Amino acid sequence: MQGMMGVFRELDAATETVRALRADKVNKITAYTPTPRHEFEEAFGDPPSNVRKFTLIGGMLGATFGWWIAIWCSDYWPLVVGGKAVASWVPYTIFGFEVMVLIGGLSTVFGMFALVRIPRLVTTVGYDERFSQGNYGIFAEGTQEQMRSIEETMRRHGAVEVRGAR
Amino acid sequence: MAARDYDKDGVPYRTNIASADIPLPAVTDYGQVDREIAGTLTPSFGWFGALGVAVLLFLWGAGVWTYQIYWGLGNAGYAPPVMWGVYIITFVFWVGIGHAGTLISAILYLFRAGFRTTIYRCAEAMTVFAVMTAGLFPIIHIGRPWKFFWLIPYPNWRLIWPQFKSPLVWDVFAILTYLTISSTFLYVGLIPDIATLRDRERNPVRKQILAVLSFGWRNSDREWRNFTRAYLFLAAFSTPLVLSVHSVVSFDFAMALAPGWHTTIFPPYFVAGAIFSGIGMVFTIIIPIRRFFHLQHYVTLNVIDAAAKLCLFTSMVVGCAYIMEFWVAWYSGNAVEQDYFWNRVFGQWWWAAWIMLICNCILPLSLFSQKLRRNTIWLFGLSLFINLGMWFERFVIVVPSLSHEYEPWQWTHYAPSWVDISLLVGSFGWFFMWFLLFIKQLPVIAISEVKEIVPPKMLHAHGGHGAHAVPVTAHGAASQGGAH
Amino acid sequence: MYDPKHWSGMAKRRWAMTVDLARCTGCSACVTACYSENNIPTVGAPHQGRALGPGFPDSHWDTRPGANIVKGREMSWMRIERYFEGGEGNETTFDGSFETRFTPMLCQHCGNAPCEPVCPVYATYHSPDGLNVQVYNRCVGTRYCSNACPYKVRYFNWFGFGEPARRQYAFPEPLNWQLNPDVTVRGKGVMEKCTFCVQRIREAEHRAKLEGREVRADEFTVACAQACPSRAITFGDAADPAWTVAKLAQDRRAYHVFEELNTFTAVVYLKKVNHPGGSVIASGAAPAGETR
Repeated sequence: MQGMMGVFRELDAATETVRALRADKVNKITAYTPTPRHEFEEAFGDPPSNVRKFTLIGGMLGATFGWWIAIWCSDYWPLVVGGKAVASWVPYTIFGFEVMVLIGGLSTVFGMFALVRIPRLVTTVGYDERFSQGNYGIFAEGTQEQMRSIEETMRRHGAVEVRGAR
Repeated sequence: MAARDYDKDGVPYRTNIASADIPLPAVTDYGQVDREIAGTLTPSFGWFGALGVAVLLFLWGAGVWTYQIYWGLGNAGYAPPVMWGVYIITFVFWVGIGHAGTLISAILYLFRAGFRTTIYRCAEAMTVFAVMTAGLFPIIHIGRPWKFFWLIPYPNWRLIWPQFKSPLVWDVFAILTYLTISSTFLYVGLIPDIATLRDRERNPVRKQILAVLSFGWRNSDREWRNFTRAYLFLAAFSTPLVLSVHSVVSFDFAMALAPGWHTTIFPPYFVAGAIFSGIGMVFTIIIPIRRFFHLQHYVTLNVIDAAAKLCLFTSMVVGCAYIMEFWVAWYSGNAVEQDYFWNRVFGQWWWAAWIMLICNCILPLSLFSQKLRRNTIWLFGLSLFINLGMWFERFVIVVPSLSHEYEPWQWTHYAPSWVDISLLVGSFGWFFMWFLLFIKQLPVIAISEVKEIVPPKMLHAHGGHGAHAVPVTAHGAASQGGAH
Repeated sequence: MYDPKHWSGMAKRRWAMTVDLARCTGCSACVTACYSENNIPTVGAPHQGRALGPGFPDSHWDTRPGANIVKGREMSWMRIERYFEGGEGNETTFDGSFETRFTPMLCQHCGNAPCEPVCPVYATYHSPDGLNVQVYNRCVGTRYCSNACPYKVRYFNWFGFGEPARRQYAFPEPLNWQLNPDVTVRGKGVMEKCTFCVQRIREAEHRAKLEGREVRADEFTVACAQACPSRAITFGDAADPAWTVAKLAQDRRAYHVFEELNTFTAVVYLKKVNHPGGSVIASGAAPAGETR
């Protein structure tokens, strides 16, 4: 597999390149942008992120754990305080809620890290330091034969610099 | 075109700043954003001076705390039955300040309020450090602080657990959750900015540290797609935290029988007060930062105007809550309650109650004037009064109730001692120490979010297929689909 | 709580107390007896004051006698509250309507104790035999219980009043010889309050068990009741009709302090009844023939 990296200064140049490359059946495209832009989301047309599954599962587990720990601990030494019931679910809603938020939030972050494959130990091929600052980058991978047409597409749409990367 | 129709940024006065769009007219390209914001990170002499003062105050407070642990709480000003004093007041004060930061960064994100973009990083950092400061006080104020961990349900060989019906245990869970989620929210939002700093950094050691801290973030489309979704969910989780955490703190009072405490208005009263006090502290912090870091292009007067409107609104909610409190006490016909309120406003504690009422309800009414809303000197001074008034609000809640309860034999007076004041001042030192360290290590304005509202460079003048000059939302997560 | 079938066997008792305000003379013998029975520290000595400023030389301590008392930090588990009634604005002549009322106030051992559910560590809970228990070695000193108590009968160890190594130790030699060995001395940072002389209760129960019998009615009593010269205080098991206190608690004059708070106190006060015209001198003022 080989790859071609193009550096673009303008947003629409980059998005047009992505559309053109996808039309050419080049499917392994990565776009690097300094800031998230929904234009790229539209150009790629990918399904929504799966982070919400992590959030849902984490939230449900957290709520269960929050109620459970309060009830289990209260029942372990069933001491009466203030004439109240030993384990009452009503005030324990606070624990259910807080632990739901805690575990839900943490699993959202964990899910994001997992889906995005970070922490990442080495810099990936095709990334340039300019992409976090002012420029857009398109890195397209394909077979040896596709490289020439990819390069041509990028230059046609206004790439400032195009270079091959393995 | 009269001179007063435009402010010195060249923006017309009657701009509709309630819209989600807050243009930053003086910021034109991404390179400028990087340069100016990353440029704030070089330490200056004034910064070292401020940090030195903060560290000194913190060390003084730490020394006095050690002294207090050794001798006992008797050196603090407590006068039974006033068993809670300056420490609990300061605890509630700091937790309250934290809530405005989360409101600005999470709730205003969900509401798509554009004026949040340039101030939310600063406010979110203020939240994390305020909650860290608040978390010290439950340990400081207990009689045997070396046993504070008994409030946490950790597995222990005695198999003894905390008492889950106690509001203090609710506090433990709420504050720890809030601290964890706020710091996570802050850090996740920082990751792209740390990546930007990493890419600009020339020093190899700092570059390596930043690379580790940024987790190898590389700004790809896949990363942004998942990031924006995760950020949205974190904001959605933080939103109920703003409402619930301070409600749980208010339960510390509402669950006790004391007159003036045992009232159902406390949760919304406390939450409104918290947001109000936090916005006051945001102004106290951000107006000097804007001046000393030359960030007037980013934190424009429109942003400040909008935040001042929020301040005015919460001040009015707090004023309404005070009126409700008094009215309900009168209407209830409960003699103890009525006597307590009379004592609070016209009796023994009149001076504290009137400081509170003037600073929280009367002075912020000045924000009805747009001229004053856009005057940063006035806002800074007002914010100091708001901080004072909100500290006194908690004082007026805690001390008058305890000093004038059911048992007339036990009615008493209270005055803080030098130990109380030292720890209060030390807490400010601790907070500002962390905050000052933060603003020089990490960008005080969110670089990647500002870049979202700066118009991107376009090859073709009116954009190509579905591209926009300026987006409607920050971090366009809820993708609109198609061209507008 | 009263439950003869409770697994601990303790819930068949309901320890209670009656305080007859008609008999109370305000002499404070009960207070003194409580102090000596329960190792309660006195806090008014000059060496027990607080620090007035930072630093370590002795000169910065507050050495005025009674400095702690002025700050309300006395530790009297049982205290005599004195209220004056009538004679408002008339401090120079004797007015027949003028009354002094004494209320011995102690922990009421409430059934619905407001102090119990607010303690974060179970340092106070309700025992099956009706006592509001304070566990000293579990207390972390949040003082929330005192804030919740409407009677304000909970006391906090602000200094190491019970710690011999501390400056504010309340029992320097030879006062430590007066300490009751059946009762602990509390350390710094711990809440304490009336325990209904739980050491005497348990001692009586243990003795009865060793002798293979039940505790007899009125077999023992608490320190304050024992010391009262006019027998105003009666202590015992209110669930067992054989004990005196069970009958006294049903008296027509009986009431609970702050009954409207639904605390269900175990301490029952018997109202002081004045005979009509009894306190009128020649002034001809309207008699104060009111019950309390």
